[in-house]
Amino acid sequence: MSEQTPRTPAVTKLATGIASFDMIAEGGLPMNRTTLIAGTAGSGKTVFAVQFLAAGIDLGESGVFVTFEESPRDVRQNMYSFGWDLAQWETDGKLAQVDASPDPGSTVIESGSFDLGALLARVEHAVRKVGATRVAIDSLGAMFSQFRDQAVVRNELFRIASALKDLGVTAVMTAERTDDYGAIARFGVEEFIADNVMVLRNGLDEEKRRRTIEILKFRGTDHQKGEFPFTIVGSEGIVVIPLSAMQLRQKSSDVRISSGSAELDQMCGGGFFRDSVILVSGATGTGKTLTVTQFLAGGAAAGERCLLLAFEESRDQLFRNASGWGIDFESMENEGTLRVVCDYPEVRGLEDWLVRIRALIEEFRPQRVAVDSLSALERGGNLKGFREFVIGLSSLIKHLEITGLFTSTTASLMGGTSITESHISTLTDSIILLRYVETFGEMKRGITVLKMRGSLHDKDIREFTIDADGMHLGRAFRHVTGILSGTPVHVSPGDIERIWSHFEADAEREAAQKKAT
Amino acid sequence: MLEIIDVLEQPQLAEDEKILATPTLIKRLPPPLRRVIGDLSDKEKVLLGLDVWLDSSPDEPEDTP
Repeated sequence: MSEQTPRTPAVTKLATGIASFDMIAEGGLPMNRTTLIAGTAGSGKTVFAVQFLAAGIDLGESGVFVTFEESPRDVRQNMYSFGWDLAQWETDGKLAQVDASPDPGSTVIESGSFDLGALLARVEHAVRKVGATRVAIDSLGAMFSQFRDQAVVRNELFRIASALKDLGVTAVMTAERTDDYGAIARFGVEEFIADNVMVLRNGLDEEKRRRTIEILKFRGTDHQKGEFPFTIVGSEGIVVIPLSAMQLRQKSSDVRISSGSAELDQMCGGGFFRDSVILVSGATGTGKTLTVTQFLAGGAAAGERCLLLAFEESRDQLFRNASGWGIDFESMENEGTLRVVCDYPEVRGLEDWLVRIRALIEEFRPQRVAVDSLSALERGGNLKGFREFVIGLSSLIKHLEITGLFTSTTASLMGGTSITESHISTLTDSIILLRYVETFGEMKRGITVLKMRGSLHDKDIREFTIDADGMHLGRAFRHVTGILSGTPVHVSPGDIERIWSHFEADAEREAAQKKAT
Repeated sequence: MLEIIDVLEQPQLAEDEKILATPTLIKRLPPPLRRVIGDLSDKEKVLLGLDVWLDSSPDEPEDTP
């Protein structure tokens, strides 16, 4: 391509100002080059293009928006909801629009050969007028559909791209695709602006839309590979969820905090770790919400702010339950130590939930976050999306040194694991299991600490009861086996002695062998 | 009256008129407003584009009952 400037040592990057995008782009868009943004209808191309300019304006740069599709008036109106006041920027001389949208009132007749010299002159004029460093062209498909002679348009586009380079601006051009996985763009545009290609996708999976962004290539410079989920938020625009970039920088502290129950603290070897994620798993009614309630009360008692995200019960139910266990959520909320957010998981997609939770955390700055239940959120997307959500949420929590308590509902009443558990157990630091134990016509509840990363803990499965003061831990189930598998079997004391004697006999035999050798 | 504008010298005028292609011929009067782009080598299209085609166009045979 005509881009070889031998003196330039390396491709530098322009920080777009879209923080989450800059993270996956490892710095931003290649400076002084044109990047193609390809995507199907409704994948967020125009939003990205305008956001690229808006973020630049926030950084004190100016921009030019060339529209082939919507009229400048429509663009202003549509983008206003993101908090981008294009009209104001135009008045302030920070933004210029080049209106190349088709005029429905006039028909254009092509008679003989032509070029798009006027358009090029207008773009150059606009760039000089506002001193623009960023240009967005939206969209190439609409540009092609305005003219019958496609070869001319293709040729002119190439001229525009090289003119933008001479002007020293960094540009984005959007292009339509017919299909989320296929040719990069229609009209063969990738042939001349193929140096930097990004793809936005808006795939339909299990009746849910899932947006992803992928940087296909940045010629001569690095970027993160693969598709990253993103969402479009009303006040911010595109927010990329950079999974791989988030995971690595976690601190780990050995400060212990109370679970809200002295007995449970003891089982955990002195309490939960400050920036850890704890998963509480159990069937319905085993006491998960109680564990959450105690965890929040324990935080409030220590003067910490607690955030509860409840997806299964309404506010009133939660408050009533808490008061049933002697915990007053109302006064905790009045003191500012508690915030309860209740919503159906279905009201937004998982990516949007992640962004919403992040916003809540940034606003309220809690030291403890509880999610009751994580399983309910499973319905909000496919398994991959759910796993990404949990990774995103746990790394967010750990990064901010918040203690997170998630609950997960098991499908079967006795034993068993839930999908939630099997997919996220490796991401959590501690797992507490709550199980029903059937003993001689009575349902008892059992609790065990299955895993506690970096700490000793009680390995017993202990019985616990719930009364008006909350949870009370009792003795270990010594005469029952098979609780976790869901098939409790009672063992008589005689059998237990016999089993132990086997171990002892083995030990004696081993000792004897050692002596002999 | 025919006015000739060089868009390279007066890009703002091109902006105001929303001109993309060069050359572009705009017919203002008499209405309707018409635009013809290209070097005007296709005479028939120019006439059609400027809407100066005669009513008794040979291309459009009259409807016979």
